[in-house]
Amino acid sequence: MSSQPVHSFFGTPLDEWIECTPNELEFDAIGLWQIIPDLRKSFGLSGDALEHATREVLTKILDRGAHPIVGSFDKPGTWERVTKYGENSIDIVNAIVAEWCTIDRNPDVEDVWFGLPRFYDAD
Amino acid sequence: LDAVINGSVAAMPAALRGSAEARLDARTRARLKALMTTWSDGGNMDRAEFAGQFFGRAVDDPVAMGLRTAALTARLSGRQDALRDAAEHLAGAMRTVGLDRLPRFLDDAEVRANQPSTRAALEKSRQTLVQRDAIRPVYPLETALGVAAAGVAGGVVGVARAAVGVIVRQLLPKSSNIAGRAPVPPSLTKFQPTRDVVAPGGRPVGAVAGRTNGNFRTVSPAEFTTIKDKLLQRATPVKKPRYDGTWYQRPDGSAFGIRTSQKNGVTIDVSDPNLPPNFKVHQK
Repeated sequence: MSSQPVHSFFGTPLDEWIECTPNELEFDAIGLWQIIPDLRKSFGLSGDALEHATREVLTKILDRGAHPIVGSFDKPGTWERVTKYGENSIDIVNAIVAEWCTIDRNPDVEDVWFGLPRFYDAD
Repeated sequence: LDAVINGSVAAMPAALRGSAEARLDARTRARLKALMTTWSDGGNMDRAEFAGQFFGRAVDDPVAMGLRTAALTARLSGRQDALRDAAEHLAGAMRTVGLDRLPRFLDDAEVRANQPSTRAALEKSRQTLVQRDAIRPVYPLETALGVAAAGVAGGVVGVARAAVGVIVRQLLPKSSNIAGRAPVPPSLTKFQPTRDVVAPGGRPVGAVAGRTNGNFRTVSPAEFTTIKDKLLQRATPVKKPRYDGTWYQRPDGSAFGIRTSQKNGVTIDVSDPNLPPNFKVHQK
């Protein structure tokens, strides 16, 4: 029997949640505000467990071809790509985990999102 | 703010409204108005910092949060229903404090507002706080009609008087109800907490799209419009320049944003402590 955490609202096991999260890219960009707060609050993760789960889900999102993006300051209602985290998936994941998993504050909707090129190209 | 302070007295139960303490004197009104301006400047402080710096209270303290909501709502929206909501929150906070203890409460609040740490936090907040002038107020039809009629009849002065008159009339209870509790305005009876709008009875609206997580709900265009309209009731726009849409704060402490993408349609992002952190409603 699995002892992995389950989502407090939906009852989804953590592995399944991590597996399904990147599927949202088919419809919409995924914000870091969706990932870390949910891992913390709904799965009760912290410390190494939080970092590990964040790495897993971010890697899967980036493997689908998504890039870090943020709402454009100059052109409201559009996205722009964020390059400060690096170019390859490993660098991006390391940088984001280092930035966010060690502080108490949760990411906000103004912080980094992840989207396929069609999100920021189309808009 | 004057209208909100007047409205707060009017929003109290009749027994309280008639007491000597409820007739706020000019000095108390001026102090309250100045403090509310200061509190609204602190709108970008997080709730815990706001409650701690201004009141020495915890983040879940009803007085601190009621006064925060009143000050921010009054500042960020010119809509009558928002001003009425601000007045209700102010009234609730004053009742909790106790009208007889209000002067001492204001003394303490003034001291706290002038502490160096509070002033520093305020300055940081002011740098990014959305200014009321940056948001175009939306006035209901009755205000427009009042303004138009006065414009015809009395020129610019008449326009101003009519506009203020409409707002004040809507903030204050009708005189025929003066003996009892002020009637609840229709807009208040319609208000639904965010969790009841997007997850009525604890069941999230719509359906899970594809093999996404349960937090990502898709609904029909008609359902989406209904949800959006309910959420927009008494919602106050909040400036979030790096958000790819428009962000709103609701009186129940929740917040939401509406994003429109040419490629992916419309999505509502929901932030409510009573819901999972990543709740989204997407239009099919």
